[in-house]
Amino acid sequence: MHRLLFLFLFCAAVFASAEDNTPRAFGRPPLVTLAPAEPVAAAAGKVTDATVRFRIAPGYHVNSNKPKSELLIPTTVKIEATPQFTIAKITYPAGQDFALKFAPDEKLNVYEGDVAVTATIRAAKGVKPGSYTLKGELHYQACNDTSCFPPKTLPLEISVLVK
Amino acid sequence: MKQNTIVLAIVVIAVSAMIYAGAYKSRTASAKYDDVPRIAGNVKGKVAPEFELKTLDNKTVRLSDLKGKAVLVNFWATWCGPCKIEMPWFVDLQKQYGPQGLEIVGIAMDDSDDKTISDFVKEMGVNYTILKGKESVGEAYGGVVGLPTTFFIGRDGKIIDQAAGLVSRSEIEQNIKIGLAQGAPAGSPQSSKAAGGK
Repeated sequence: MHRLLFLFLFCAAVFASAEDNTPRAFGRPPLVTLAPAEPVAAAAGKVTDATVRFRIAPGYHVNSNKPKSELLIPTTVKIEATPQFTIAKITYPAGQDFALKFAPDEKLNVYEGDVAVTATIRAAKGVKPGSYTLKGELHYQACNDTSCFPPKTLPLEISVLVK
Repeated sequence: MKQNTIVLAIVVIAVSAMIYAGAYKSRTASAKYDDVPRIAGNVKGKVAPEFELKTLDNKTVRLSDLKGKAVLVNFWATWCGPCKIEMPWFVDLQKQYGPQGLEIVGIAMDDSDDKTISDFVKEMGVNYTILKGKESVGEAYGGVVGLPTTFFIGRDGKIIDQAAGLVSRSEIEQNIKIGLAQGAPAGSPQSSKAAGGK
């Protein structure tokens, strides 16, 4: 009987906990997914390139870094400088022209599918050998042919190994 | 036997308490926006939730101020491409059906400052009411996730239909006609037009 009691209590606890954690909106996969950044090797006083890769779900697009209107939200990658590293340059791929079904004459400039952004990182002259983590973020605003979704920011990390 | 009954009673009480606790937590989690009534699921036929929002020149507008009119509530943003496509349609439809009692209300859901929204609205030649949106109003309308999202409300204050995303102008116009007819006196030109008359 005590075993039965334990089983009941366990099941009830699982049930109660599952109900509490039920998401309010489910079923929609993420529109943009960041790939884990590959670690990069750096040397003191030199620059090195790190690549930030992300994938846009099929049927969706995000504005490129240079959309054709000031009102559209560009895709940006920001990486925080540290005492050991500064960000020399962020290089974005060119977008592709795209028109919504309802407005074939009005061209947008967007990214679709897999996208790679390059961050050129400069290591300080006095940086000591070791592993470092740079923190940053990807900011984007996604749409499909008929709807747009609020701008979103995803945190990212880049591992840098100084030899 | 007596011991088994006691254990069983404990189990029943414990399970009931846990189910109640789970349901209570779930309810309070979704009660974030309980300052406004919320609609969910199939919205057709439900009373449109009341809202009170400011225009770009800080005048207060409530949905209840528009009682007796057919109202098109359009959630949009300056950064939304599909929203920009339908705005000229709304301008034309407001001109055409405004005299019959249509009120188009655009609720701006972006974080842009008032001047950006105001400049955009001027550039688009908007002739209908623009209000500064609040997340709570989107939540009251079932959680506006994507933009544009449009609700068609009849003269009787009930929702006729909802369009998530950009739909065709003819679909929008058809719902406006139904909205104008809903609550209009039987036999009036509006009620016969919506019924397919000319």
